[in-house]
Amino acid sequence: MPDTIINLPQHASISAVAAIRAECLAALKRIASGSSITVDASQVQQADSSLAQLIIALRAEASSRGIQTIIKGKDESAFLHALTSSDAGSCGTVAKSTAGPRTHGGAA
Amino acid sequence: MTDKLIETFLDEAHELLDGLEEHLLNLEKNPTDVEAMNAAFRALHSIKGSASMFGFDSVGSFAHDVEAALDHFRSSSLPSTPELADAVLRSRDHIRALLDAPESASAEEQEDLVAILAALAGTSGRPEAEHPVITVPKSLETFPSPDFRTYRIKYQPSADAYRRGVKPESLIRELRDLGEASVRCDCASVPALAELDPEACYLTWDVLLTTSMPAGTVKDVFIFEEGTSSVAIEEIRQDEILEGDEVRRLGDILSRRQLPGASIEAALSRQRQIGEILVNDLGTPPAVVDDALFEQQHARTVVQAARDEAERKTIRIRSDKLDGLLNLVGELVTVQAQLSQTVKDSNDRHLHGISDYVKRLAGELRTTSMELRLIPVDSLFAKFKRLVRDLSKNLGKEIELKLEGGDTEIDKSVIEVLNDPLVHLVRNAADHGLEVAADRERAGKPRGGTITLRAQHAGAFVRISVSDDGHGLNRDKILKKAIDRGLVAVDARPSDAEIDMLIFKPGFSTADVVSSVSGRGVGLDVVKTAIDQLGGAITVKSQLGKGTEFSLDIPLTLAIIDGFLVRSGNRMFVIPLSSVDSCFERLRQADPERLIQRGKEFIPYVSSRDLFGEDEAPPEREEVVIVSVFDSRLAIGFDQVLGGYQTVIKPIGEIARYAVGVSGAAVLADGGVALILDVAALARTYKEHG
Repeated sequence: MPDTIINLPQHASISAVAAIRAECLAALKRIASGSSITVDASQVQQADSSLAQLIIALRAEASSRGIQTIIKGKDESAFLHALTSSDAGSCGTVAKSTAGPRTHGGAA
Repeated sequence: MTDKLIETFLDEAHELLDGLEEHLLNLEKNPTDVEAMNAAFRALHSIKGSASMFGFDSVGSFAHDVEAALDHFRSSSLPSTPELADAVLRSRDHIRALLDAPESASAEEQEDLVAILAALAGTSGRPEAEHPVITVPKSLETFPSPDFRTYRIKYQPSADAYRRGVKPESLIRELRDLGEASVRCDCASVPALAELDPEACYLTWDVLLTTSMPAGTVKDVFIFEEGTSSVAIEEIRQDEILEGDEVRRLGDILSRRQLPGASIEAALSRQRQIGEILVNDLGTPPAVVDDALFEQQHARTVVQAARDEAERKTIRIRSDKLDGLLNLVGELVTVQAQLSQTVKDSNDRHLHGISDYVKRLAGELRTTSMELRLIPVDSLFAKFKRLVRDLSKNLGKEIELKLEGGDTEIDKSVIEVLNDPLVHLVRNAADHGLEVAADRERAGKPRGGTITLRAQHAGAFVRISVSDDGHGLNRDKILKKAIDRGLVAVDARPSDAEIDMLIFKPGFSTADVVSSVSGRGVGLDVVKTAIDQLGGAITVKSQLGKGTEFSLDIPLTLAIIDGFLVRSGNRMFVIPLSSVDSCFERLRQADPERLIQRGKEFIPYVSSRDLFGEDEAPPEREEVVIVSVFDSRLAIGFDQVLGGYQTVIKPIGEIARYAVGVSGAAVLADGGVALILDVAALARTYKEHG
């Protein structure tokens, strides 16, 4: 089964997020476990943190259904950090949402 | 506003523009280089801020437009595009023109650029945004100090924040502008997609900010969020995260979080990372450890930023003041030599002691003041990145520039003079040296050519070379052209090295096409003249099909040298000490040889009496000094070696052009004059002809 692709528009800020969410929900209904959903962000020129939280929700939903989420056209972690103005490589939880579980280390 | 302040601003702005150019060239090579994008943005932001402060409103306003375009790409994590890099590079040049000669800066160019930038920023047709107020926090240079405070800011926008038009991430960016910030965004409250209201905000931000700005300024960032969103600003005492100027250990940071003391003690006693033990073994909530780690990480970032800042700490001195200082030191060196000479015949031990002390101080002062004038050659090389980039575009050739030895230091005045000759050589290499891609492929070479700029030290000289991996000099063509022009006799059989040197003859060019880049027959002779005037030398090595290398051997300084005083008859000479390899005494040879043997090596020999002439009868013995510059060695016989002598070089102007082997003069302690030998030229001459 071919990948399902969601193309993000050039302006993917708050005014566009509702439509993107609807598209995501429709896509999730169509595809089965084991397949993947690609979010093509290569055209995005303007976006904000509302898109970041939508991508995080989509990833969580897809993961719970056994569907892989792929972000195309951007480095996912850097993209989410930029949208939320948070630090790449920080102990921020945006990083956790994309990088999987962390260990609690630190020098004693 | 004083001229001095404006001058400082202009100096800094030029430095920032140079840095901006470098970041943009990096970005052009690697469009996803986030660090280059951020660095370019920071440079523009600084130019904008300081231009507005210093009354350069036109620069501030234009820089704002450029910054907006860059910020659009930066904040949306978009990779750079050739159009963006090109527009910002052009804008950089325009800002420079606005700073240097505003009356001659092109208004059409600015209009054109503003339109391009607006299109890139996605703001075409929108009313121009109001220019932001510039806030200038103190530099971290003096951190840690009471001037700085660290705040922990927890910002949870209300659910309707987006609907109210609030952009939380923009507020976070405002915080970043106030100082050094560490930011994490908590998305734990983001619901399942089906339950997610796309216009509601579920995110929370946690910021650690170290700043010199007062708490009120930090609060003001959230002025429109008061009463609607949750904003908690708590000051963290510096000693909670730092011990002196060192970052505290995680255990220390955790200890103020009211954990049971036993937990930390227990964790510290086990051989694993404390955070892991506290969470996995002792039931400490992960969020508590996360918070402590976040603080520790922030403290490290701030301490490192402060150290970086301190390392960059410099003061600015006008270069003419440095020149003045060096002149005074030069006078002092001469007077000190006179003092030593006068004291030599005295029996007063006290006076001898003072004289020796003055000699040592003058030497140290000389060394220090000379070092003040030394600048890494990197500052010169950096300009060539842009030049080669532009040449590459104009000529339609793929060209890579390699820079080596950029930390080699050279006198500031030498660097200033070197710029034009190097520009000429690099242009020549790009235009005539390198082949077009198709020709290179046919010759089994990579499509892209390489130009290498390299600097290296050798005693009192610096060798700067410009090499390319192009087709090399076409000696047949050079010789034919030289014969046509009557520079070489038709039946002459010059060596390869002699043919290569023909390209430095005035008006000599083998270029078939006169391009905007080079090939007008004006040039390499000008380059050679400039290098000669520096007391340096230019040589060329070339291999057909492999490439060409021009080497410029330049004296490290033009001011004062440690010399080696020698005598030939009644004449005194100074040899730069760094060129002296060794010396020995021997019986004068009745029939002087052209080579002398030292160990297994044969070295060209010349007597100073043959070099400079001398009527007085020679002494029985001579002292032979062996000098060495790069790969050339020469043995010179003198009547007497008088020893080390620190001397101020006095230029002898045009005379030096006709007196081969002499680069300057020095005033001696007794008021007499000694000629300073140009050992590089002598060694080269005798290597070629010996």
